[in-house]
Amino acid sequence: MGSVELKNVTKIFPPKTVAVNNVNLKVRDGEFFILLGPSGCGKTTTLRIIAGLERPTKGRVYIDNIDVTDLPPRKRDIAMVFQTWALYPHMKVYDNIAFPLRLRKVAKDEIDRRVREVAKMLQIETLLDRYPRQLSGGQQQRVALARALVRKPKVWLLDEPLSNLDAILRVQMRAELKRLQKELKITAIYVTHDQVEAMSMGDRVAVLNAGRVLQVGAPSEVYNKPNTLFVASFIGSPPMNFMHVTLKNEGGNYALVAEGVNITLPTELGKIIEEKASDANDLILGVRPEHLELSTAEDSNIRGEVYVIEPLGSETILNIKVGDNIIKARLLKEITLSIGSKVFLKVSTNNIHVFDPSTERAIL
Amino acid sequence: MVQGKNESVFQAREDLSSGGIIDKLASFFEGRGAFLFLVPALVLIGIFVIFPVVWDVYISMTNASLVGPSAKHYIFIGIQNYFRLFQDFLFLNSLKVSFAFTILSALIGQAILGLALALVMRMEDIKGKMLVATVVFIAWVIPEVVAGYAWSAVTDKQGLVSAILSLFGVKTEYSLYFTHPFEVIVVANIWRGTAFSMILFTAALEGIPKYIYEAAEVDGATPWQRFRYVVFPLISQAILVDFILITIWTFGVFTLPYMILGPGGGIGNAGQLWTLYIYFKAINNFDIALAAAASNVMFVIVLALILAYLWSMKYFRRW
Repeated sequence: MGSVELKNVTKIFPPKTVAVNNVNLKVRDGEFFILLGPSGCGKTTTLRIIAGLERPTKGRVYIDNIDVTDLPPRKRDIAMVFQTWALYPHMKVYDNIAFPLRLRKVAKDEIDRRVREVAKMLQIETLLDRYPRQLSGGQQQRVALARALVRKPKVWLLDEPLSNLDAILRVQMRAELKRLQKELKITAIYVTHDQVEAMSMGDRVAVLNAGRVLQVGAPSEVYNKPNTLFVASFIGSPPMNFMHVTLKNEGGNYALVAEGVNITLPTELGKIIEEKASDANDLILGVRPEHLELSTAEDSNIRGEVYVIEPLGSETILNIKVGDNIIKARLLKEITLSIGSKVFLKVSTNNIHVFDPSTERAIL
Repeated sequence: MVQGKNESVFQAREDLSSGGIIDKLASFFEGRGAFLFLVPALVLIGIFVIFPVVWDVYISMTNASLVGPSAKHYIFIGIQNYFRLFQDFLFLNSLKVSFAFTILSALIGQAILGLALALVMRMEDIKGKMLVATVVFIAWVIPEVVAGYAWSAVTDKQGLVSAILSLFGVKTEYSLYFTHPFEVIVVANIWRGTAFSMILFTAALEGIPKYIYEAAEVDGATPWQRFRYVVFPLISQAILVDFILITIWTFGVFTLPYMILGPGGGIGNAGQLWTLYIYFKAINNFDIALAAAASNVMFVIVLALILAYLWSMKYFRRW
């Protein structure tokens, strides 16, 4: 068991920096839960509140439905992997891993058995006799994971544990972490600013900005149905394209229109937008680069001219000037266009997002 | 304009060097000349450090005296003074007093109190900690003579301590430094020297990253366990350095106990430190040769202690 719940949690650092603003979260038992957001959004503070390293100014924290707000970290049965790994420099790898068990006065044979078991699982058996400074970054990170796992805690808290690794190792560890978490069926709360990490590892993702939780959902949900401009812009690479458009209604025939843009909408979609928008003349259209495709002049609903071409091998990022905007299209085909040439694009109405600029919330 | 000026400077330099003055100076200094720069320092060190040490060793093997005929015409008597020294009850007493003084006032008093204060300084939400730190620092920075007089006054039979004791109905017939000379200088020296250990330990504690404490906290360590298994091993080297320095200094402490107790070290010589003994022998008894022998013995013992510390250092920090 290991569910975590935050109720109305607010953290204010004196004098009045609001790091976490009325956060409500429910992490289910055995779930890989991601706190995603840009730096300074309050995700690490939220994790530290769950760990007990920070006290919330307001609100309560529950682990397995028990109020732990006033308990010190050692009484919460959690384990944490720090961004810097925080290995004890004066202890050998074996002692680092054994430390949480020794503090709990576990029998020597049992400590030995468990240390070796977890070391084997993380493939660091040969390093047990070394000091942390003798290890590479990746090895240190495994030791930190081992130390967090050896105790079989209720909740596993990870604060950007991969950010200090090089790119190749990061991708490799990403998969291993996920496998480990599923194998051990342990509840994990993982903080990251890397949306790729969030999408690839999480069962559910909470997107935070400026101390608030903007959206919680499965990665596909956050990706396909972003509820705010911020979530839409933060998730996806390259990020979503945004353009100011107006909703035209000519006798029930709706269309989103701007310079170089004319997207005809099914009537029901048009009606929804008309109803929900505070000002139908000022809307923000969002289109993901991967949802744009090349088309003929007749079929196209977006047109512009080629600005920059970025070939990436397996795909090509086409930068297109539409009106005053530069938008990106991610294309899998090889491009024969040249800079300055006219280009016709098509986006399906299933794949468009419409936001209200005054509230920054999604209408569609 | 500026460029022109620079050019003329370069030109002038070139003229000088091609004129050979700088070249000649340079080649002169390159050989034996560099040595010239060391001469002032070497002369001073020679006069004030090397000569006294050599002279001290020499004089300790003579029958020299401060006054009388042997002040002028002393003769070499070998290591007789050293035999005299170890037969002198007062010397053996001062040895004992100095060791006890160093262990109690420095290694136990200053180091433990300094560490405790350094730990308190790191804690959040402790009120008045800056006030305590300020008081500790004041004790360290005021002149030793002033501190000595202050302690004499405080422990006088009409002083502050007596006044406080009388509040509880305890009557003091004699001054505290008279009845308890050793205890008074131990406390005075703790008061005086704690600031150094506090600063050293504060710096050492600052060197431990915050996340290490937090990792230990999350791993389940109680505050005591965090200190015992994480903080203490990580500052063990600083503790050793502290021990080395305060041992050297405390063995050499003179002014404060001298101001409080005088060279005799109080009643029954209970507070006669080594340094006081040397002073007492040289100035009060005019026995400068014996005093020189005593200071040489002191030097050897302190050196042995320091070497022992340094040797034990390699058993710390294997990580």
